[in-house]
Amino acid sequence: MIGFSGVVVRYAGAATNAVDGVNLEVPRGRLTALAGPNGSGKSSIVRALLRRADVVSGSITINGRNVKAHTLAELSTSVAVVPQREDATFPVQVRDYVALGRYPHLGLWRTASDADHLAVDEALSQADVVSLAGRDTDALSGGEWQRVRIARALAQKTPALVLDEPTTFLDVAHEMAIFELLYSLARSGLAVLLVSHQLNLVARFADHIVLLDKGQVATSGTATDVMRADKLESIYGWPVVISRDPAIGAPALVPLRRPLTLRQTEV
Amino acid sequence: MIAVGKGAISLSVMSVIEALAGRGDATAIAIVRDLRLPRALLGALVGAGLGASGAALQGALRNPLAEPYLLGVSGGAAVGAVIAFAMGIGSDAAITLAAFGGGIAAVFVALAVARAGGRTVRADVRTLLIAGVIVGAFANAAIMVALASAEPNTVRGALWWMMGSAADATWTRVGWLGGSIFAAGGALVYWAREIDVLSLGEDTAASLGVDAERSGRRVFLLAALLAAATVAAAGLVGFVGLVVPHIARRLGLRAHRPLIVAAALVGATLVVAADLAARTVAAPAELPLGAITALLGVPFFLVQLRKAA
Repeated sequence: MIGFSGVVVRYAGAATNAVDGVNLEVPRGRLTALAGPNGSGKSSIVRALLRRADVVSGSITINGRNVKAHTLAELSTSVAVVPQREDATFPVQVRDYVALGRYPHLGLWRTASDADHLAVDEALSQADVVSLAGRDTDALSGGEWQRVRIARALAQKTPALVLDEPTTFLDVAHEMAIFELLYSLARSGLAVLLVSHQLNLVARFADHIVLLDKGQVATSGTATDVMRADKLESIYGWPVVISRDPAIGAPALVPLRRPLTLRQTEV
Repeated sequence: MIAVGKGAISLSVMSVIEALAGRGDATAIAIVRDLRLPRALLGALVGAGLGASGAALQGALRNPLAEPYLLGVSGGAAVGAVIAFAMGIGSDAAITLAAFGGGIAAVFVALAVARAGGRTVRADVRTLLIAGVIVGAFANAAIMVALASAEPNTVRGALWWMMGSAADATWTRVGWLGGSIFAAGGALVYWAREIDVLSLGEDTAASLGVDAERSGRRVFLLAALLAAATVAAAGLVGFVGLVVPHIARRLGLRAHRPLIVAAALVGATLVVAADLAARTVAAPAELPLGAITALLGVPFFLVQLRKAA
């Protein structure tokens, strides 16, 4: 569905490439995860997909067609993106906010049709935020706000969904709920690309994991392929061990504390 | 109706209606048709233009303290008008044109300054606001230089103009302003859904198919056009563009299409009321309209600032 081929992103005035030759496939029906340390180029890949960062070499394609050949409007009917940051200066009602996801589908006069209202209803129920529909966006908790943003993207009714760190600041239950939601969306046929720091959750939910380091693909594959202590130690620069999720046996990362003597000398 | 009736010479509601219908006292007909009615309409249009402009700008720039005058429009228009005054070109049309040209020119200068400082118009809202303030400061300096060497009468005329007034209302002026507001305001209402999307931030706007830079610039120019037209018609009427959108939001309107329309209506009401006060509070003398709106607006601005902080 979405293909990244040898993608290089370089910001004006930067000494190095933010993304340095990344290959990545995001097929339909699968949950693909993009992980890696801070500054490894994850968000730049999302920005490049939205054409908010320049792809200086390589290409990003949607169903085989280069993103650069799409208009932004065409792009918005193929891929819905939930960006990492979004500050709503003026609060609006949740239902109206989710309805903005229908913007790419509105006609000449930009008024909502019955189909638009229906899509908003569906999105609200898929993201389990029907009960919030009448609330204002500034009266939502962190977890509610993330789900409402996902509902907005779902209202776009696109075959592909890209989310940049959708579970930041969320507690365990809210985080799990969002991962379960994304998993079921992928299983229902969407192409889902998830950018996340949460290696352990990614290892339990994602079909395919791509681990970035300094703008390049350090390793990729299934959870078992990617979650290897030696690899992760060198990427994150921190001692780790790999344990097992007791329920489904997925690999789980446990970062270690430094040896006692080292800590004392530091203090 | 009240605004048309009250004034240095008070008319009853009945006589206003008669005068509008062309009956009754000849003096009353003249006062109503040629003085009071165009003045009330001009005030309403100025308020509508500034209110709509402010509502659109605050949404597109995602800043509740944005207003058309902060972006250099007012300073530029004042420079244009003062230069016309100082050069002794007193004709009404020339001053209006000079003010309009000055206002638009200032906006382009501010845009250019902001673009030199940042990547895009909206990526750097702060740069744009600072650029507007800088252009305004430069405009003030230019005004002082122009006035320092001008005749006392010119200075008085220019000062009165800068304080804002609907007193020089003519039907021609009402027609021009009405036309510009209908065109630019209509365009803003048409693109209002895009402003809703813009107010979510640039990345989200892009994911919804809106090029934040291009559509931000479009909203910005339309809003500046509205403001420049009102300034050219009635001088500087401060704080309307800032305060009115907040009042409209208090009425429970959030989506920009109804918000812009409501801001236009609230602005019209407010300026007509302020102009009525300007004419009647110290009657038969007149107070400057811009001073009255600013007296009301400044405390409101401070309250908003406290809330934002």
